[in-house]
Amino acid sequence: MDLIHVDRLNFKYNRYILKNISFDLTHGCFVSLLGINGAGKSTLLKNLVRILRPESGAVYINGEDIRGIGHKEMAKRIAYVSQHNIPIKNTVYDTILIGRLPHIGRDATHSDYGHVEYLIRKLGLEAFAMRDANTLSGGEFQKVILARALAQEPKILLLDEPTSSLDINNQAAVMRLVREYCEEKRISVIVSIHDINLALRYSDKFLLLKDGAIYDYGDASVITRQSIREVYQLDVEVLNHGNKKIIILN
Amino acid sequence: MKYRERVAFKRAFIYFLCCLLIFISILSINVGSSGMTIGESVLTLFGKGSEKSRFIVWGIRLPRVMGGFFVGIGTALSGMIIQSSLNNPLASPSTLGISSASALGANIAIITLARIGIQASSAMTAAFAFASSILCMLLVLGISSLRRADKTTVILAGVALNSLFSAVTIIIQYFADETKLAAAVAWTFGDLGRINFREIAIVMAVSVVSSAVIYLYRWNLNAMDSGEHTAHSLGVNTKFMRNLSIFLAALNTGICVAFVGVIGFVGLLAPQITKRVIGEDKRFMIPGTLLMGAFLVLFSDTLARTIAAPLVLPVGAITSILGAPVFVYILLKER
Ligand SMILES: Nc1ncnc2c1ncn2[C@@H]1O[C@H](COP(=O)(O)OP(=O)(O)OP(=O)(O)O)[C@@H](O)[C@H]1O
Ligand SMILES: [Mg+2]
Repeated sequence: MDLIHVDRLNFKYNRYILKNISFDLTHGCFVSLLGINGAGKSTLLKNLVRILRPESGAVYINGEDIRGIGHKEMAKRIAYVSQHNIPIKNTVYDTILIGRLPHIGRDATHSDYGHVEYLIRKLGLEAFAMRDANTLSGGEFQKVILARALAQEPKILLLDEPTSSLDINNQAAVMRLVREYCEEKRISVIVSIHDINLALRYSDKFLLLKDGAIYDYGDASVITRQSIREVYQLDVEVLNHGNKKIIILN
Repeated sequence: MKYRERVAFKRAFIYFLCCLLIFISILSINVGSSGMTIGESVLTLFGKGSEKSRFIVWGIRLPRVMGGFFVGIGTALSGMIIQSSLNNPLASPSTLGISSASALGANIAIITLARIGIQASSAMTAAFAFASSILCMLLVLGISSLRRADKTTVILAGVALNSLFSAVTIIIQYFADETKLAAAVAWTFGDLGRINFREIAIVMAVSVVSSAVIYLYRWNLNAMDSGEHTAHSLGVNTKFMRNLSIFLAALNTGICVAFVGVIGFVGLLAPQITKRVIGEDKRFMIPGTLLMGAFLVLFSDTLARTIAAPLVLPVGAITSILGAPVFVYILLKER
């Protein structure tokens, strides 16, 4: 059974933002969500995590309609990192600890603290574990909120432009980290991203969104000169580099 | 890890506050204009001592201290909730006009009911104060959700509301009983001397139950500090948390003001001081803030009864003198 199944989802504010979105996502799959500003990427992710409610259509996780899933149960299955994050006045350690919330009964236990410390080591955050999160650089902060999402031990990770405020080195580092960690834990990932080459380097699948509708969905073969022109109004050259594709602006 | 030491420090600070509170309570029971010695008051507290000293300790000072204690808790709790739901360090019941709205509500209950020959009961006064408190709270939330309203705008609106409600209260008082202008002052600057055991019981029940409920949701409140969307994705029912917060903040402000008047700035000071010492983790900030609130009220009241003895100053005047500079400090720093 597919992990996520989206069935003819429509969403509107005052006009339709998402139109007839249907797709499936299998376990452990890494999907890049591509599209121009305003295409509806954030809106789609928010619908998947129930921050927004669709006008019609439904989302299923393991065959279960998400409308019937309780708040905590939902948070154990899907973690979401927003595109816009407010400054956090807590320490890095406490910020990651709050990611354990779906698993915390009355109070945090040794295993919760253990998990937080594991993630701090895994993501190389030891140096600022006790610093206030709002004193970190953009790249460091991005890793912290990523760690908070991973602390939920989700089956699905939704990341809304996690690399947009990072330098070129950290962009690749964060993507590699997500890729490796999620491969190891068999977490499915949907990441909205603007750097197509970065997406090509790390993703299994690509979901191209145009004006709120799915233009195409599939493996690297959906990234072509034609599709980039249609989705981004951009003229590019698509080259093969080893077993990966890269695109070059003309 | 250093985290454990941090937590130990936070715990230690809370124990320290407990000790401080016990100390100030004992001191407060001993301070007064009757010229009793410490030994006498302690003996009296344990049922010995003369008829007169028994009356002074049990009838006057103990209700004062107990009232101050629970009013401090209720006010600090409201302040903490309001600050974290508006994400605004300058917000509090008194700076947003919610306290004055409650005072107005209580006055309307007492005075209008007296017109038709009914002496308003404590519960009725409290109900009126709560109703006006929640109305004002919703008004402030409405203002703060406007697109153009930044943190300072919300506070300015609060200042205006505060003046408005205080003015109406004074006018009502003035017409009700022209000889008792002192009563109007007591509403705007709070006075612990008016509370009786029945009212203490109400304040105690409300503040203790509310605190317990808020403490139960400490993890959810921590999540709310990361923003509404993040809290939602962490499994928090954000709508419920918001409504619960508004309800409890308004309830505690309303009840406290109904029985002692406006004790300004305690709701601002208690959470601000506490979080500067032990941080924002609600597991520790909640008990810390409540104890701090009780301490601030008792400390101010002890001061109010000693600096101009045998005159007793209104406790709210002292808390305002302590609070206003801190308010300005935060205002300048948050820019
Ligand atoms: N609260 C809102 N009310 C009305 N329209 C909205 C609202 N939020 C977003 N929109 C509109 O919905 C459309 C899709 O927005 P969305 O944020 O999903 O785009 P996006 O693909 O994430 O863009 P970006 O790459 O800039 O993040 C945009 O046209 C936007 O203006
Ligand atoms: Mg977006």
